[in-house]
Amino acid sequence: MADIDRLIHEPARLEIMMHLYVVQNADYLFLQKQTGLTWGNLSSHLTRLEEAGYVLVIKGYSGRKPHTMLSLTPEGRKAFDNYRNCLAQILGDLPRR
Amino acid sequence: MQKKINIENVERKVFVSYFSDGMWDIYGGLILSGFGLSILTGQMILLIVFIAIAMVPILIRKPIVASRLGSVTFSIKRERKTMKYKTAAWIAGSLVLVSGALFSALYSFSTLPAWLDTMLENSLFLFMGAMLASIACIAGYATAVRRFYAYAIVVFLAFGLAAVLRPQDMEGIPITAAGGLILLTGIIILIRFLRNNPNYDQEADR
Repeated sequence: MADIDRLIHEPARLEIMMHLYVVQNADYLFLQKQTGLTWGNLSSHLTRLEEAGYVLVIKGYSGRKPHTMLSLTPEGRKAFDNYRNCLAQILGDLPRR
Repeated sequence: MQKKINIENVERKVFVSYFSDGMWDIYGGLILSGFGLSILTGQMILLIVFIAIAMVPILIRKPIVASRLGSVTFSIKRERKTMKYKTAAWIAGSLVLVSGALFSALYSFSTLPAWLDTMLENSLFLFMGAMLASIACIAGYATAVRRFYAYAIVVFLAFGLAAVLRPQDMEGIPITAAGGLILLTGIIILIRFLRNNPNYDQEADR
């Protein structure tokens, strides 16, 4: 259990990571729609993931409006793969009743 | 909270959500209605007009969907898969166009005996129906949207019925009806989509 990445293990962040894992990149609105998180909540979780180097935030413009795109960094992708393997191993090792 | 986590399902759910706007249904419904009406009235120009109108939802689709669901670039694997299905749909679409042109030629300039003329037209109807149904099936398989399979059945049945009604000169009716049904479904889905997904600016105002 000690190997579990607690940053990813939090349900909201896990959902963010999962959605970014299956796409190349996405914007805030996409993540908000898919995860059902509020803007503030989403923003704070993304900041933590960005600080950990798991998420890349690219600030740009769409026309005149600011538009931020998000994607997983290679480290983020690797961390998520490790998390999956770790969780699968822990749960897989459990004896069935 | 008990939630089954499956990465493939997440990807599929996301991908399907980008086809919940009904625009492709409107596009297909308009073209099919146009084809049916052009047969009914004998005015081929109607088909061209309907095709031109059908381009509108496709052109405005991306900004409408992106402002409501957000922008996303799907995985390279998914993009490749989509490209493969698009190619197959284009081939089937081209076959429909060629058979449509053949149908028009037979309709206008045929000097064949009546029985052969009727047989060719009937088989062309069935062929076109099968090809259009294939396109709907490919779309259903590529997008995992189940209603496209239902459209495939509706289209094939409509063209089959058209072949049967050909001697009474009523072959345009089932095709127009099928197109109208798909169009109506698309409009209902679009209205529901717009209601359930207000655009970003409207949502921010609330």
